[in-house]
Amino acid sequence: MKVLAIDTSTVAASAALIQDGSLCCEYFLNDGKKHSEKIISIIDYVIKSCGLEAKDIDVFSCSIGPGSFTGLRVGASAIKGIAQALGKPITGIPTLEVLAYNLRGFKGLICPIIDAQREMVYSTLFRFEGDTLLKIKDFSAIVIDDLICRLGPYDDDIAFLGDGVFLYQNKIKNSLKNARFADVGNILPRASSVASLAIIKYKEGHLLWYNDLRLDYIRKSQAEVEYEKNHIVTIVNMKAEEIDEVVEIEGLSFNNPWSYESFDFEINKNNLSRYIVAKTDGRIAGYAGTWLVFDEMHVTNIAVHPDYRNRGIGNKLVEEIINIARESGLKRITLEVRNSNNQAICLYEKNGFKAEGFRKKYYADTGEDAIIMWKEL
Amino acid sequence: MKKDINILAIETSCDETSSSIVKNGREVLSNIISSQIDIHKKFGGVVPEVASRKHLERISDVIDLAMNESKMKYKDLDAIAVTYGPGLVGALLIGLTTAKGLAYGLNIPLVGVNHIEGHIFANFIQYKDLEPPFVCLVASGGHSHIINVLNYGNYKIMGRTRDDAAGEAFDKVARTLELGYPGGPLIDKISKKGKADAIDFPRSYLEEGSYDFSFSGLKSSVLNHINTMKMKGLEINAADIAASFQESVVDVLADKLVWAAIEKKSPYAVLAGGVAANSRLRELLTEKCKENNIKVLYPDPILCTDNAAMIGSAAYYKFIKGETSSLNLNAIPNLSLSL
Amino acid sequence: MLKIISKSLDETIRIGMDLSKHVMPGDLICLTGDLGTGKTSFTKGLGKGLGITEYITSPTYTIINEYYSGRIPLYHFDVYRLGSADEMLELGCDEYFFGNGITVLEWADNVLDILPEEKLCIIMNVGNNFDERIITMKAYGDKYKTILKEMKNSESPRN
Repeated sequence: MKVLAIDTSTVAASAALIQDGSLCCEYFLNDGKKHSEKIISIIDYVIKSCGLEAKDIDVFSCSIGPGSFTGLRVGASAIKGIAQALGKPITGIPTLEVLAYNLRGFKGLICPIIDAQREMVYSTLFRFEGDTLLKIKDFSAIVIDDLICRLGPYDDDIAFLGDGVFLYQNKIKNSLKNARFADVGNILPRASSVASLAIIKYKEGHLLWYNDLRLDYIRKSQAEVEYEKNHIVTIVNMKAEEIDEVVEIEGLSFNNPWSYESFDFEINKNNLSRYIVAKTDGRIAGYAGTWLVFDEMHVTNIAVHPDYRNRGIGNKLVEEIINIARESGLKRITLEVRNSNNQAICLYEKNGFKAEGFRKKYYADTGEDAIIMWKEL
Repeated sequence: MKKDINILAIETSCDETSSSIVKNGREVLSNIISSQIDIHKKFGGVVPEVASRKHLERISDVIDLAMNESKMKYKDLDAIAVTYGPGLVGALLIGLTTAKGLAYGLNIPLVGVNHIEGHIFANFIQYKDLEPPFVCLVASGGHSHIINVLNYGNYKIMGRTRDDAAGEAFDKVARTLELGYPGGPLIDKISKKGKADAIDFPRSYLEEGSYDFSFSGLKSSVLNHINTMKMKGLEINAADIAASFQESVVDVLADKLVWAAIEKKSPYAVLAGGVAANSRLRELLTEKCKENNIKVLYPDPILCTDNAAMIGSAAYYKFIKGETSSLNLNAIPNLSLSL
Repeated sequence: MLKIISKSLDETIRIGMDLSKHVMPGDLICLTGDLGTGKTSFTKGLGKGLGITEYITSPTYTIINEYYSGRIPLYHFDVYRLGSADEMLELGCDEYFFGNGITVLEWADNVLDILPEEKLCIIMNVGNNFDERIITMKAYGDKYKTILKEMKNSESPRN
């Protein structure tokens, strides 16, 4: 079996080819230049050096992170492109495992650290038991001082490697007496380790097609982190003072909107009704209204403010009313939806509602049919 | 019989992941565009890291779809074409490196294409009989160029923006008016409800005879206007501001394109790029061209957005001249058209 | 600290050209100032002084523009569109800061907390009239202090 593997997760780029259990060629380049320019040439060099062509390779492999976002993507795109062209399977190997594998045979603990910027590292603690790599503790992304603190209780030797060593070697040395550091040839991820792990994955049957490979960045993009911080959606029971806002959304959503008085009745007088609202940014993003009648829930209206559509808020509201129905021990939920409202129909179907009938010309404004949907609980 | 040339093209310069199969430069067998606009909308603009992640997630499926729809097999392909600039470098790298992998795996040539050049070729797809020379305005989020298309691959840049691109001015003004993102279509839409002569924003023609653009001053005027209104406690009429701003931009764009067409005796005034989809620009240009007996050409909206078919078309004319790229090709964020 | 009054856009470009005589590979120049105060014009001057032949335009759209035609590469960033400093880190910006070119950063105040301590900060403010600009240069670190000293000494009898 022939495995071609690459690593581009740090400043260095490397490629290696293992054929029938022996390493035929490994190319390691750390010249500070961009991976995108050279990666194909490096792969080509390694394959040609072994007297092979790309189509002779059985499995392609790359590291999938954590590491430099751009570096990881360049490596994954190259491998995906080649595998897609040749119709060959691929495997993705976590970078921290790749690093640990550089120190195969080490008797103590192995602690790879990859720079995550702002005094943080990506890290996992490993140990070899025979040839098997065991995960002792996963630290994900952690502040270097916290990591040192968490490693304090371990008495065994701990071998550190990865590009984090370039930044924090002194700090670690000063705090942990049992710290060891990998030698210069093993400190960065190596493609030969990716290839060795790929063979193990292959034997375990963990092969992927090119469209299924996903990187593990560990971190969300910063824009998403900030966004989620500012836009947490909470769902709570609707209060009387929220009627104005809900009426506004009703007006923006329906041709024949309910009036203030209708909502006032629902909230303040109707004992059978249950109304919930989705809140974000300090305002109401959407609402759902229901009646609890015997063992059935009737959904009266669901709407999301135009500013907040396509963000999964409608789905959250539907999930919540299903929860309420379950908790109240009801047997089924029903609702009517406009024939033309595809988006809503999809949303309900996704949540297990089924179309079970029509009300002909139910909507007076357009003469459209209503679809009656049911969900059994 | 001459053999058909089939090119698989990839485009990932901004927030559309696209792949296309183009036969003999003009016949589009498939043109798959996976837009990320709904994802970036909530951030108020394209977030580079998010765009790069999505491109990588989607690219293989998009290529598969393009191949399936075209009914082609990989062995039928003659080259892989890809955009290598201008654009967001992280986004470009996904398409570029995937393309290199495909070209390497299939052992066929890679053809790097300039994104701006690609936009011009959208018109060769739209109008099967169109031949150079002609004068073309390429205007989009990142570019505003008036280009004298002398021949396939032979261009003379007559004018370009000295500061902001036209589409960028649209985005910035839309953001100031809190219309949302992307600015172009939103301003186009709201302007229909406003008066284009409500506010007299400056039109920057620069020095006599120049085909260059400058939208930075106009952008400042709009900001000034809004601030002044706010300070005076007056109501801001977004539709009027948008319409007046849009009129200032498209008036200059259309005038300069017409003048360029007259100078070069071009029978056509050709539009390309995202801004070419602006309805007022099309309308005004058509008016101005009528007086001068010039024919206005522009592609369908789908070909105005970033798409891979236009890249495949441009690549064809390079490929038949033997202009292929090395597998060491780099992504260049500000790649310029003059070679 | 160095304070220079620019009376026009052309003069702002010339001041950028002056600075280009003193910069070295790996230098970081941060520009701050409102829309329309001449940050891109200043960078144009700097690029012209470096011998860059391409057009230098606003990198708002692409965030980074790279120019290689001068005696030193110029990396021109505009981080106006970025929501936070961490988004800047995601762009792999440190490759540029310590690379072999000059890095110019517009809207640097948006990402200050991730920038290296040593840098040249240039603040552009509108002066007494519509065209006048007050350009304030502050040096952080010895090599940038030397740049400002050299600029002071070589300041032409323009004023």
